[in-house]
This record gives sequence, C-alpha cells and structure tokens, in this order.
Amino acid sequence: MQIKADNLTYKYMKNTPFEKEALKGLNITIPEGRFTSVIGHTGSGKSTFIQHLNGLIKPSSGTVTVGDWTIRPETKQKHLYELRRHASIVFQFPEHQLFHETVLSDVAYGPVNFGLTKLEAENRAKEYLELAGIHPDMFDRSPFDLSGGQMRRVAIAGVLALNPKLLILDEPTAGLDPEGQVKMMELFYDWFQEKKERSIILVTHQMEDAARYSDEIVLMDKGTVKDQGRPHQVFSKAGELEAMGLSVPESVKLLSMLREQSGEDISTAAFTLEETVDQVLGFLRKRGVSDRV
Amino acid sequence: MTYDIKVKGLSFRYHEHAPYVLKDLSLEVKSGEWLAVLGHNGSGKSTLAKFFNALHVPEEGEVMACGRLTNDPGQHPFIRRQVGMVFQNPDNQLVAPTVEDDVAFGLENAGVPYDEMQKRVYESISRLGLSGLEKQEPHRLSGGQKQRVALAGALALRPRIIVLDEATSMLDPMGRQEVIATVQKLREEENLTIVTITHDVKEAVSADRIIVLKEGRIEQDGTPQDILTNESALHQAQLKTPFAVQVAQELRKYHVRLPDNVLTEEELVEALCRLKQTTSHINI
Repeated sequence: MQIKADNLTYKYMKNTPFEKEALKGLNITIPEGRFTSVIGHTGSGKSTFIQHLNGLIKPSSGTVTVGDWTIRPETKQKHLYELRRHASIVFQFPEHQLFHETVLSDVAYGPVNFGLTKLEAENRAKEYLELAGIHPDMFDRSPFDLSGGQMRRVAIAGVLALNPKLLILDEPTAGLDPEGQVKMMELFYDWFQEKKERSIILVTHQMEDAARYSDEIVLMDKGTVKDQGRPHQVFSKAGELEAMGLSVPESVKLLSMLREQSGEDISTAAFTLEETVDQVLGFLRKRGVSDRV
Repeated sequence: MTYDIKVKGLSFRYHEHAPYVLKDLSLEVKSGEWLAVLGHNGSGKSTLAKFFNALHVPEEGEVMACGRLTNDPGQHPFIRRQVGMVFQNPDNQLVAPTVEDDVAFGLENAGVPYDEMQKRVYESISRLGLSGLEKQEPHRLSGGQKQRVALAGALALRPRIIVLDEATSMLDPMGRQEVIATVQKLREEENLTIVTITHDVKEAVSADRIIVLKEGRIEQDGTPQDILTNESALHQAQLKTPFAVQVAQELRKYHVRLPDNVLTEEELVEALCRLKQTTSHINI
C-alpha cells in the first residue's frame, strides 16, 4: 500500500495549555513494496507519524492516505476498521500486550477477531509461530512462562498472523541481545521479501539495521521530514546527523573519523565490514602505490 | 586487598525442578573495581546481580556483600544501603512526583534527618548534572535523564557499590551515552565499586575487568583487552565483537601492522593515521 501524507499536522492535548505540535505540515510519499526506515531523535515525531498509518490517531489537519484509505480529521473510526486488517503496528516491547492463557490462543486471537474460524485461526497461528522460531512444544504453555525474547516472538507472530500488507515496527529489537536482534531482523526481512506487495516501515535507533535492510531512509526532525533517500545518501551527511543528536552506522562513523583526522578524501558509503575494510585499505595504499609502483 | 563482593559456589534455580540459572559460580569483586558482566539474554547475569544486594539469597553456596553474609536477614538493611541498584526500565523505578522527591525517597525510608537529607539530595542531583530539573515531573524527562535520577537516588544513600543492571538497554543512543559518561565520571571522582550488567560490548570497554557469563557459568574473566579481542569466545557467548576490533582483525589479514590494544574507533583511527605517517610505503 502506498503511503502519502499531505500537510499532516498533529497536536497533542489540543486546546489545552499543554498543547504541543508533534507533526508540523509533514509531506511524504512512500511507494508500495518498500522497506523504509524512519530515523530521528526522540521527540522528532516518528512515533506520532506511524500511529497515523493505521488510523490509531487522526490528523489535526491535513490528510494521510494509506492504500485506498484516506484519513482526515473528521474520518469516523468505523471507516478505519478495515484498514487495520492490512496495516499492523508492532509497538515497542510488544510482549507487554500478551494476555491469553496459551501461546497458541494468544496468536489466534487476532485472526478470530477478523473473522476466521477457530480452526483456521489456529492453523495460521501455528504457521506463524513456527516461522517466528517458537517450537510446537511451547504452543500450549502460558506465554508468561517464556523468556523475554520468546515472548516477543510470540507477540510478533500474533501480528504476522493477521497477514498485513503493511507492517509498521517501532523499535522491535530494543532490549534484545545481539544474536536476538539479528534473528529478529532476519525474520522481518524474510517476511518482507516473500511477497512483492508487502511493505515495512521500521522506526529505529539502530542505524546499522536501517542501513542494511532499507530501500529508503526517512529522516525526521522537529515534526517534519528533513531528508529522504537511499541509505548511502542519507548517511553521507554524518556531521548533520550528529548535530541532530543522531548516530550513524558504526562503519560510517569510523570512516568519517578517519577522513577528518587524516584530512584525506575517504568515501563513507560503506555499511558492511568488507566495504569498510576496503575503504581503509584504499586509504593506506594511496601513498604506498605512488611510492612503489 | 579488600573485596566488596565475594561469591562462593553459588548455584540457583527459580523453583524446584526448574533448570539451574547459576551453576557453582564463584567471583570476587575488589573494592574500587569496575566490573562489567557480559552475557546474552538468559545467561544468568541479571539473576547474579540480584544476589549482590540480597534480593535473592543463596540456598547453595554463599554471597558476601561488604563483608556481610547475605543469608542473614538481619544484615539486609545494611547490605541494601551499601549496594545501590539501577534497573533496566526507567519507567519502573521512579516513584515520586518530582525529581527531588524521588532522589529523597530512599533517604526518607532510611530515616536520614531532614537537614542532612536536603544536603544529600542537592549534592546528588548536582553530581549527576541534573541541576535545574529538581521540580520536574520524572515522566517528562528523557530516558537518559530518568536513569540518572535513579542513579542519583541510589548515590544519595552513599553506597559502596553501585550495580547497573542493563540500565542502558532501553535508552536511545544519546541516553545511553549520557549514562555511560556518568558512570565513567563517577568512576574517576568517587571511590565506588561499580558493576555493570550488559550485553553491549561497547559499554564494557572502559571497565577494569570483564567476566562473560554463559549458561550460569563464568566463561571468561579478564581485562577488556583480553576479552574484547577474543572473537571466538565472544561469538560462543553469543556476543558481538566491537566493530573497531573486527575491522582491525580483518586489516591484519592484509598484513596491516596494528597494535594489539585497539578496542575503540578512536584508537583504530589513531593507529591508522600513525601507520600512514610513519611508513613511507605500505605493501598491502
């Protein structure tokens, strides 16, 4: 589903002394079938923006269009029910939202609510639980007896079982250990690649993930879109990002430091270990080559 | 040599029939030392931390904190005043309506006289760079500020040991940096024993000593230099080698002569620039 925001403004606690404008006339278009990361400092409006994408909150003014649905300030909730079948949000620490008696019934809950029979829902739940790396032995256990990482996988299986077209992820790897983070991102990326029409919006502070998986990066600052482009374009402006209180991928940080300290022209468009090593070797060879060859 | 924490033969499981989370674990933490405990989720590191201030007490083995056995409930008030804890979730450990009240909370419970309490609250707030935020409501602060308030509350009790149990894992990079910098500052300015529990290797770089926990046992014990450059050991413990160390190791394969003690980006850049200046030609 294509996403389009037109002059989107959102005010928290409107018409009170605490009124705060979280989004300020934001304009953006995100085509269908993309993996897009939204980065920005805490308070830049990232979370407010993504909550518009399945109608959890409505614009104070302006519009948001997601697929066939256009959300305006006056849009009624019942109009948005159908949208939520297709656009799902995984919030931070989704394991806090588990509530059912067993792992299986927790995951089947959403599909039943959206009209599947109990049997159909359970079959689908099983499919996505296995995909999320939950062993069938655990299906009949209470979700609260699982480890933190397993609980999060169950919660995510519950969202994937809704079979959304647009998956919106808010810091899905926060608090996981390094291996857990990699596995979680691979799970999302495999899901994303399975069907052409699937899209992911990832809100993250993990710049390495944003760089590695995204087709495009959206940089938000003070309630507007400051930059939008491919990872190497957005992350080439390391100084600008750091001035906004954001980090850049480790590889970019290392190469920018090397460029600054050596005064030599080194490209920072490297997101993997191999690319980084290549850039450093290039830097070391530069004078060596002219001396020797 | 005095030890602030002594753990001997500690085994622990949450209930009968459950698997052991800690297995015959022994550990000594020197007075004034900064110990980083690394391990993946479920390795037992947070469980271990809860023994340091008697939130858990051993059934098998023994734990001494500041020279007192934690098995003796009579020692718990003393131990808990000496061992301050900061936990993972900033929203679960602030209780009072304002920052200053929150920092005062522990002191009030400990029965510290009012004048002394006031003095310590403001001292603690200023030491952690929170001056100006005294009257703020904690929930309006950033994650990094909240954790510093929690740390201020712990420090106001003048403990000998501070334990940070994944205190940065829920923060954004700025907040994380804020808390790490604060810990480094405390380390330099105060005679405190610090234990940081983390799965982020970057946080362990400036510690005096690192232990790596895996399945309830200490797998590795050494300096940051020993542990963080040992890629296979880190990998086995499901941890990530610091990026600068990874790059340095790759470069060595191309016969780039880098010193062994490169742990951070700063050190690597320094070494690379020096290498380029001192070598007239590099054959790689």
